[in-house]
Amino acid sequence: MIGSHLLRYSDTQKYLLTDKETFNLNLLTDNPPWQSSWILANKNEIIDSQDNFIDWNGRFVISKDARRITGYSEEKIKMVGQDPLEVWNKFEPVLLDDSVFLCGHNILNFDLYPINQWCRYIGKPQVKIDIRRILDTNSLAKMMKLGVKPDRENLIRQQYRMSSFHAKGIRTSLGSLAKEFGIEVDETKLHDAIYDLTINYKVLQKLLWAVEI
Amino acid sequence: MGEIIPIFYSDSSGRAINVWWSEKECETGGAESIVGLAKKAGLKEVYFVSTRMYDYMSAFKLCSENNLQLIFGLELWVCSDSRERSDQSVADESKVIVWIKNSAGYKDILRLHKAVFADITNKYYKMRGSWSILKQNWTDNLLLTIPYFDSFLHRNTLNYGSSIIPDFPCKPIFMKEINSGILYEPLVEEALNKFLSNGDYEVISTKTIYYPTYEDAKAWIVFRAIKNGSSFHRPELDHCGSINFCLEDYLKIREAA
Repeated sequence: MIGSHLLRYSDTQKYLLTDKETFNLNLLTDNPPWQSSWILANKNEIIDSQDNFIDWNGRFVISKDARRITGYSEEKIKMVGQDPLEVWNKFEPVLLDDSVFLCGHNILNFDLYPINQWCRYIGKPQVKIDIRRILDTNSLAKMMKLGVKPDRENLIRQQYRMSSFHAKGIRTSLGSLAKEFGIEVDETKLHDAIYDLTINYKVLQKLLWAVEI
Repeated sequence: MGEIIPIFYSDSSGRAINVWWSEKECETGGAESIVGLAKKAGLKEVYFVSTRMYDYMSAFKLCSENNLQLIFGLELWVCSDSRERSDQSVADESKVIVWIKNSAGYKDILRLHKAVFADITNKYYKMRGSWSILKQNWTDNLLLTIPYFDSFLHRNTLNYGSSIIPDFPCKPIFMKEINSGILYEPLVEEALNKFLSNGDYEVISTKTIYYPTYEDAKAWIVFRAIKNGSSFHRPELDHCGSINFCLEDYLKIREAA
């Protein structure tokens, strides 16, 4: 079949969608995740999902904006928060599975950095991810909107280039993409990591058909 | 890998927290003297890159007083036409470093500096030169290197809209940053290797030093945020997520080699 190499036709290819809620927007320091969620899925269904709160024992201070936007609660963290190393040990095997595409919305510009900080603060070396496994739904959406043909030989480079593109009228937030694709969104639940991931997964499913990757 | 050359930046660039003060002037727990850092590392030469000429004299004086040889580089943004004011002109910008080879080179670099910075028509969001300005002011007393990050290779690879065709005034030497910790680095390395395979260019291994230790990265990002007009919680510095631009990392790699 023509195009049979495209991901949209693969029933076995798995995608790891990951989202992190953090203390602020600092990529360098004092900003590991306090909520780490992931979904493992194929193009048709979610196979597994995990939602973990991480208790850093008050080591980091959350910014006012992050607290407001994410609904961070010290009480909740105290109740259900787990040890950072414990959560990392659950996440690491799926993160480093090279057969799985690592996906996220704006993951290239953000989520990978708190993951590195997480490693640093639990005394582990920087995790070595093969960046060619990454699918950034924000970059893919920009490609779709601009009608850019995907560079299948070096898609990650193209995604990085797209991630640096900004223009008025080109809206690629998860919320606006979901609206465009007819995906129902409960605005009150946005910025809860696992809910965002479900929306992200549905957007990814649409993008696999909209962009020839 | 070969020898790794540590490249120091100072606070004058807005990108580092090392300073050109004497060790006596530096307070404990405050900014660290580049002279002190160089001595700590047992260096005889100090490769110092600045975005201006005005701290050259402090650097030269302090190095002379401490028996260190100063090797000075001027970092410039260049584009095809520095007088063009357009988004494409910004996309065409890339960095180069011009080094002084000898004492005669000091006057030549001053002339080049003047050609770039004394002409206000070169300003579009920032002062930049052009490949033709480089060529018009080039002499054999200067050396050209292409840095690893923000070079034409980096920008062409990762920046939307960039398709820079450089016009070198002489054959440049390419710099390869070791252990940067930057996530997209494999793409820059790939672009560099591809370019080098098409020509006979020299490559040197370098380590950029913006701050003394891994722990100082926090103070560094605060400084960067202040310079950027942003905040610690929201620095708004793209891909600024590596703590490896420090002397401590250079010493660790040197020891392991």
